[in-house]
Amino acid sequence: MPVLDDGAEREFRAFVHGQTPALMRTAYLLIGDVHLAQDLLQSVLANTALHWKRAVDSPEAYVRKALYHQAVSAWRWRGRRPESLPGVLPEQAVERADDVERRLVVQAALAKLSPKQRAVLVLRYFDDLSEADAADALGCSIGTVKSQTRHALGRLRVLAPELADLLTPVEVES
Amino acid sequence: MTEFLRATLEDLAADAPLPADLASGALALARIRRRRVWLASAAATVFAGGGIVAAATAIPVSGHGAAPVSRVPGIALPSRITINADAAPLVRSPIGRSSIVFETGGEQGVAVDPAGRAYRAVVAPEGREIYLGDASPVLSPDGLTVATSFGLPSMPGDDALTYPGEVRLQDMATGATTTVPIGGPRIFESLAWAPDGSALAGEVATRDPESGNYSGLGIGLFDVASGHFQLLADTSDAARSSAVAWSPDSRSIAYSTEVGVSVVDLTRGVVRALPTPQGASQDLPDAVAANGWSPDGRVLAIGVSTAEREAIIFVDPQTGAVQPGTGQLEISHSPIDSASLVLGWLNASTICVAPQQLPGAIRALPISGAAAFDLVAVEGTGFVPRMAVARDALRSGRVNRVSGSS
Repeated sequence: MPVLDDGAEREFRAFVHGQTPALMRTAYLLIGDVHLAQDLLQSVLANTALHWKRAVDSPEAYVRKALYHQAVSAWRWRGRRPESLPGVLPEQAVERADDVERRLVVQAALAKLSPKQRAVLVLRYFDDLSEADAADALGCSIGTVKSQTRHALGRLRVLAPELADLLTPVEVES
Repeated sequence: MTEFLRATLEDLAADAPLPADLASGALALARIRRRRVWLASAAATVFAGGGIVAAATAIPVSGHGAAPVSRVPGIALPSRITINADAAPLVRSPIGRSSIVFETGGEQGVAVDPAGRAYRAVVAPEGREIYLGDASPVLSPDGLTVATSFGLPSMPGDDALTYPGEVRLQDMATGATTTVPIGGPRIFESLAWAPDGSALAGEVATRDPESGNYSGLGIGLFDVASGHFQLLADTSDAARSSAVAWSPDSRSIAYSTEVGVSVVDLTRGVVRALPTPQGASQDLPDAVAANGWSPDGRVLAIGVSTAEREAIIFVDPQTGAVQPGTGQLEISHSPIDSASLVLGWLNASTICVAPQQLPGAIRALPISGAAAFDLVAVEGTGFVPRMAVARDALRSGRVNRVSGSS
């Protein structure tokens, strides 16, 4: 028996097709491993299909919220895995060597953050959510987002002291 | 700061490849999950799905000299499994001795009987989760017991939550379950059954309540009969460790961390480090698989990454030297994860793996480097992150022929 009727399945497939690149990037940053990120996203999309009537009005927001939740909960064990670096840098990566090195240092440091610290950084600095929106997405208080962000950046400075000049304390939103 | 971090995150995100057709996989998974909800409200109900028809004919695996033994329901491998629950007769009642257990990509496992005819849902207790990956269900050597480790689901914003480690043993013949705490906010994962079925060994990790980070604590041993749990080896200096491989006489176990491969002599309590195989990466946290020790005790299969490729190599568990007469089995499994790759041994000269590009299937690879052959085929559109096979099912050398779905 199908999960969705024909019309809803078309909508779901169109949504997934259109949003997969953006969602996959977020999932990858949250988990740090391509295969596990794909597993996470597929798992979240399965739940979205099951609750499509609830999600259909704003499916991207629904999926993103679920991604953040799962990334800091059931997937925490996989989050302990080390970062898997791509074997070949992307073609556009004609960067200076020190830029590449900085990126690898940050990537390794991100892998050592707790899942929640990592999620907070992704929400704030990749998805560009405000502290209030990040708190809503994670289901916690704005104060928790602020403290987690502060802790995460502090830990990054410890883990990557060579980047300390770039990892200055974050601006505090009023 | 924010601009630097933002730019770096965007750079990193650009590395994420575009997966193919996630929608179909997600819809297949959704069907399985809906079936699980239905299962929870309809205990002991047999699903009337599409037909997988098993003929009760056991055949020896060709070319390996294994004598056919008793017919179904004796232990053996089914020649085909379906990973799409809509096409399989899932039951929640006991199915008896099982040959394979696999994850569905959701919060449940599925055990399959030797005939490939009965599929049993392995579900978590109320309020618990079956974690994907390292805490996957594992089958005892005789296929009669499923062991799973559990923790409480976490809630975002609750840093104070602890995770009491537990092992649940589920009798596949009676359905009876026993849940045993291992003490404190620990997790006991990458479980491996002792060859005699008397104990489970695995990685023990603990959680820092301040940071929420997990760190390796050691290798743990759980005595099935008494419920006694003890730490065997300290791995707290390592970020993580691999699955644990038992020697066939149950007297030693092997494990690996990023530091290298070690062997614990359980009779003397001595931990011995093996030298890193020539050409292999020093980073070996995923090198050892739960069933990586050969039945004759002479070979330990470990997964390694060299500069050019990923491969399984076969070393002497006493010296760490590559065993003469064995090849390097080049595999397509990157990053290498032996625990999800190596399923066990068909006999002393043939190892069985789960091909990454064909999740749910089982392939036999002669360690001499001779041509591989398939033991279990897979059908359906589900998703199998990890599977485990009962040792006796592999060693029986028999495959029960299962016809395709009707």
